[in-house]
Amino acid sequence: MNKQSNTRDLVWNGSLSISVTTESSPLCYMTNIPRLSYIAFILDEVRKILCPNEKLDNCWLEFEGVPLKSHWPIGVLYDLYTATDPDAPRSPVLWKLVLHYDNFPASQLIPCNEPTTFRTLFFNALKESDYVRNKSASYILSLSNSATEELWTSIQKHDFEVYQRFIPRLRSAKYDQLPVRIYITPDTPVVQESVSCKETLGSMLHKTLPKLFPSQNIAVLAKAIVHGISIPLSTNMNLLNQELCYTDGFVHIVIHML
Amino acid sequence: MELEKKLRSRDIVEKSYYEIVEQYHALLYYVFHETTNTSGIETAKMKEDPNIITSSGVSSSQTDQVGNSSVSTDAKRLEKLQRDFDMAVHQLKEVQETQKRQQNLATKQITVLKSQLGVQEELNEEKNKRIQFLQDELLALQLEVSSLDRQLEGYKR
Repeated sequence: MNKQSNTRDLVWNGSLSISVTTESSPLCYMTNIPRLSYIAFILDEVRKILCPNEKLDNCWLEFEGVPLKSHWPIGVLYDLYTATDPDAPRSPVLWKLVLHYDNFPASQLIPCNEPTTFRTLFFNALKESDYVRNKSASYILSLSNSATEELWTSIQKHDFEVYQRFIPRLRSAKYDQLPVRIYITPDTPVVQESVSCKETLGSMLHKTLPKLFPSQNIAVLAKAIVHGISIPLSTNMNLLNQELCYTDGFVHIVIHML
Repeated sequence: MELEKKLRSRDIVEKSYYEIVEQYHALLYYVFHETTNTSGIETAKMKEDPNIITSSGVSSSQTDQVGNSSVSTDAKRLEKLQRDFDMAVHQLKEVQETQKRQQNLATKQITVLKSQLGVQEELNEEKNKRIQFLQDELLALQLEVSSLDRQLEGYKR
């Protein structure tokens, strides 16, 4: 219990320091954003400070020429686009992003200008994960309006006290299946799999990406990164589900090439 | 246990700037919030304070005076501009007339030069004819000389 609590707390409280600049303004916006949170939650605030005359429709964030998807968790974006080795010595992190308000890359990003757009995306992902786990999205659908609002508010405000009440149900897997998303490179499509909770991470990756993981026990060509740390391939998938799951019910795994 | 250790190690790196960023963010928020509030306060003061209305009245009268003086100033400026314009027009006409005279002179010179050129061409043609004639005569004389030389050689033998 103590171990679980500590790990969950560390996962929940993980955060990244980011600084956002824009080409036309010398001002710099800095904030700490939880790893489990989303760009969609801070984009409007950034816009109001850096370029208040521009519409939210046209605003998007970029890192080294790559548009950042608002509907992916911040931690996944950071692990994927910075491609840092978590086991190597690292310097302090201040993630520098650029805010743009023209030439919206419509082919790469989903506009999240409406308050309900991202919420819809999030709950769709939640239903999807619930279906994989329990063969039905009935739990999400059966939530009352007030409970739905509570869950959404806890996600927005990153409130663990409220969110933890939903954890037992959100992370249950009656049919022993766990939804996993695997990010290989920024240019590669996301691999989405349903895996058994009884498998190990290594066996799952060996089955899904046999060329990158020729061995089930030893990371030869690549390693798996979840929440900014490398996970041993011998780790049980059930542990990943209970401790390292994201708020949308998925386990997001970033592959780092060795 | 290993996960916990790794997560703590991650946090050491990723939260190095946490406190600094929090302070910066708070300061930024305070500045923008204060700016908004200041605007609101100023607006409220404008509405509430009757003295401002009086000063507004004074300002409006001053504005009227400034308007009047500016009107007269504009009229003077307009007159000056009109005079400058007339002078410019006059100068332009003079320049145009001068140009026309110069152009006429140039035209006349061109005519004279053309006629002289014609004369020169005729003279050149005559010279060419005489040169041709003289060359022909020279050739004939050379032939005669060579003929005489051959006769002379015959006599010597």
